[in-house]
Amino acid sequence: MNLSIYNNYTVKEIMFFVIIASIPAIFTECYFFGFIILIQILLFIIFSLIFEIIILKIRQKNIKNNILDNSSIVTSVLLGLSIPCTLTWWMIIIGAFFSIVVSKHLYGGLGQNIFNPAMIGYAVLLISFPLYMSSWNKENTNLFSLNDLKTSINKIFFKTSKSDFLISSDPEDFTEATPLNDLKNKSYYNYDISLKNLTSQNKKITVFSAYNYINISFLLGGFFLLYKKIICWRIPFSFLFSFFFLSVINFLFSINPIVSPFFHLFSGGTMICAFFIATDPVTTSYSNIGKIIFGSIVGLLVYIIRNYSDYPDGVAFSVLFGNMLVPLIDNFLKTSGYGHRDI
Amino acid sequence: MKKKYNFSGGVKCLPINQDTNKYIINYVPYPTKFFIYVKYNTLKKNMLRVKINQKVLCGEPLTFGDSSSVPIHSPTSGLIENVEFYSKHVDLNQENIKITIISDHLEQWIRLKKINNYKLYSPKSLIKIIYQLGIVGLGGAQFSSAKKLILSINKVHTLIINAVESDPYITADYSLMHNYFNEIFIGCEIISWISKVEKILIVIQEDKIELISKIQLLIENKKLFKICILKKKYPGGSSKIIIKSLTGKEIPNGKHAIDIGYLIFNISTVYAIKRAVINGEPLIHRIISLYDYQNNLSKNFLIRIGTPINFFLNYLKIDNNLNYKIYLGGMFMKDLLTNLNYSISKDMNSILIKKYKKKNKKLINYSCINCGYCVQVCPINLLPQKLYLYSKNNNHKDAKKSYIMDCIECRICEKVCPSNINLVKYFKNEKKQQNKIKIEINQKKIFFDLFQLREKRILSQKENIYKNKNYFNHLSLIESNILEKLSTKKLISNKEIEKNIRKEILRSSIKRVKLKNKIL
Ligand code: SF4
Ligand code: SF4
Repeated sequence: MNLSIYNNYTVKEIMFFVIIASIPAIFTECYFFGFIILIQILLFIIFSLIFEIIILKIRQKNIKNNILDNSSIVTSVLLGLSIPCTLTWWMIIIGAFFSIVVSKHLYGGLGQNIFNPAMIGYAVLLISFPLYMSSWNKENTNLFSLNDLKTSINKIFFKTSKSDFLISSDPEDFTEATPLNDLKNKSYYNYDISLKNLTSQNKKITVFSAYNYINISFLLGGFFLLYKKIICWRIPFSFLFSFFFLSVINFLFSINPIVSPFFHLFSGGTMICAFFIATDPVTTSYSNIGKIIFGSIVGLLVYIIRNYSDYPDGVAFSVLFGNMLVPLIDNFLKTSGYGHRDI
Repeated sequence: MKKKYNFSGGVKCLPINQDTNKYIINYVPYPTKFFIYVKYNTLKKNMLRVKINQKVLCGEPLTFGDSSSVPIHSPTSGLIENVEFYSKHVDLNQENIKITIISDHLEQWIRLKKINNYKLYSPKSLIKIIYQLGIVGLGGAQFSSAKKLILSINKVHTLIINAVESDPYITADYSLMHNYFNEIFIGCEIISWISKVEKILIVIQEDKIELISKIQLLIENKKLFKICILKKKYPGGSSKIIIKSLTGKEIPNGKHAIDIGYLIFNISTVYAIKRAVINGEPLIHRIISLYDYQNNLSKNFLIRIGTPINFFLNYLKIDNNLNYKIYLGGMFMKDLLTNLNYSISKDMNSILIKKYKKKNKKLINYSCINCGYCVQVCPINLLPQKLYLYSKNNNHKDAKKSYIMDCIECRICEKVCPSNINLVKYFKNEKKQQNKIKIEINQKKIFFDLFQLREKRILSQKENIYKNKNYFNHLSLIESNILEKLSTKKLISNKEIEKNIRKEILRSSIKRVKLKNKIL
């Protein structure tokens, strides 16, 4: 566009770079959890585009221009990356509907929404289908599940028997989306001392390491975005710093220390939240100080929800709550203009 | 290395090569017709000095000046062909007066008063000379330099010479410094002698390394002078931003830089002051840089004010057909030139010629995504996206609260916006609305004052009459026997009272008329 200024992007390019930055995370998830992730993301993209076209027709806007800004694709990619791989197609439709129609277009389209669309979709799915959102695929003990294209398609579209999906309700079984829930159970009941199941132990190790690798790949994507100057360093670093600081305090001063703070940093949705979800420009504060405040509030909330509530991973709710506080932060951080300070 | 001064906000620009722009091309032939534009609202106060079909000499003043505007001088010797109303090319609402002069190519000058030793003159007489020779600030604001100097006497401690060119395509000041630095030096000394400053700071941008070392050599053993290096960023040239980056202070709202002790002059103004005081020349030249995309070079020309742009481009053999677009101003603050007969004026900096391309890529305007790029880039801490929202929704109150009137229209926020929103267009419109509201409020106030005065007047008249009546009744009741004695006196006093009432009515009516004149 303008050759004389460095780093000049359009909205389309910004969204495109975000999609590119999430590619390593997609590949690692595929490696650990199979092709089902790719199919889910594809379904999300297709359904959200369909919903977008319908609602744009209803609102009588220019369909081509509004779809070309890639924002709905970004939303659906992020949503597809954050859900577990047991969702079937009709749940995906519900998630896409809530993220595109309710949280974006009912608020007035791109730029007017208060809440992060991907997180709205995630929260709706989490509240309405808690069992599906926290259950894990049984066949994921082997790491190399790349060949199961047929089975994964079967799982999404033609779910035949429930027992195939849902694991029996033994408390020692490891059945959650992230390893965090297991920790929670342990802290309440101390199951792992009394019962030692070899298979569950084995699975625990694989999923633990899988989440480490997924978080590292999100971190790489985040550094790519930082290098391209698409996101500002303030939100991810204030978020990570406050979260890490609080968990260090917890680790040092609590009576029976459970997990190290580094484990908290590299588990669950920490990195995707820090670099991809909390940095969504639309729903965050625009001023530099406001960004830092927003990041540390989200970090605090994630810490509280993870340690003291019944939800395993508090990323979605804490981001939504932070979004609610953004107008308040912005209202109190008005800048002074020029030459008004001294009077 | 010396300390580099910096300011918050702004963008870095890509450099262009500066080989061709050290030199000033002195000779541009004179056109047959000069057009001179005078602002109409200033002309109401200062009368025209010339008539149609009158002969003028080169350097002869065309108008009388007054306290806010300076006289304008004829750039050539010749005949005045026409004086007419004309609207400026950009702002069609602003009416101007256009004076057409036919040149006779003889170049007859009026007699110039040369001054060899300016220290023999008092500052007031020097300021008078500067005023009469029509010198205004050449940076773009066109503020009368004489007025600035009068205000600055015994008030300022530092003189700032502004040699910053933020726009990458303007090199006029650079070439001026390069070629005429000794004369600028004398100009600085003249100004420092007039307003008795203690320090002279020369502000320059970091990329002009050759020039900086040259100046440093020259000012080494002079105590008064100091050189300040500013970072290369856009926009650095505004006086507000220069003071903020040098001192950290901000000019209070509605006040001038003089009020906090700084006097700012553009470098070409300093040069013009030197020419005016020492050589006695009125301001009829100025240096203009021209950037041509086709040949990829920027050149500087010494041009007479009043030369039509059409003629100038013809001389340079630049065809102004549909393939080119011609702008006034630099890369950022450009205005599309619509009337090629428009002439070079005192506030013009540069001309930009761009190739007109058929747009392959459509620029799609997305809606604002609240990304905050514009906030980080704005040099005076405004919130452009909030202002955009307020001005779009006609929310004048909140727009004023967010200080929309401070915006200097530098257009960076528009350039970095990823959604391609024309932010400055909205701001300009909103500023007009704000001005309208301001005028309305003022008018309401004045009318209310008038109304109150009128009420007061009527009340006092009634009271007067009532009092007098009472007084007479009182007298007649109590001092009836004296009344006869005083009858003649009373008659006289009665008349006097009537007179007084009449006088008061007259006075108040005169007051009213004066107030009305103030509004208009
Ligand atoms: S145009 Fe106005 S609002 Fe935009 S960056 Fe310049 S000063 Fe700030
Ligand atoms: S740069 Fe443009 S899109 Fe970004 S906040 Fe400013 S106005 Fe909105």
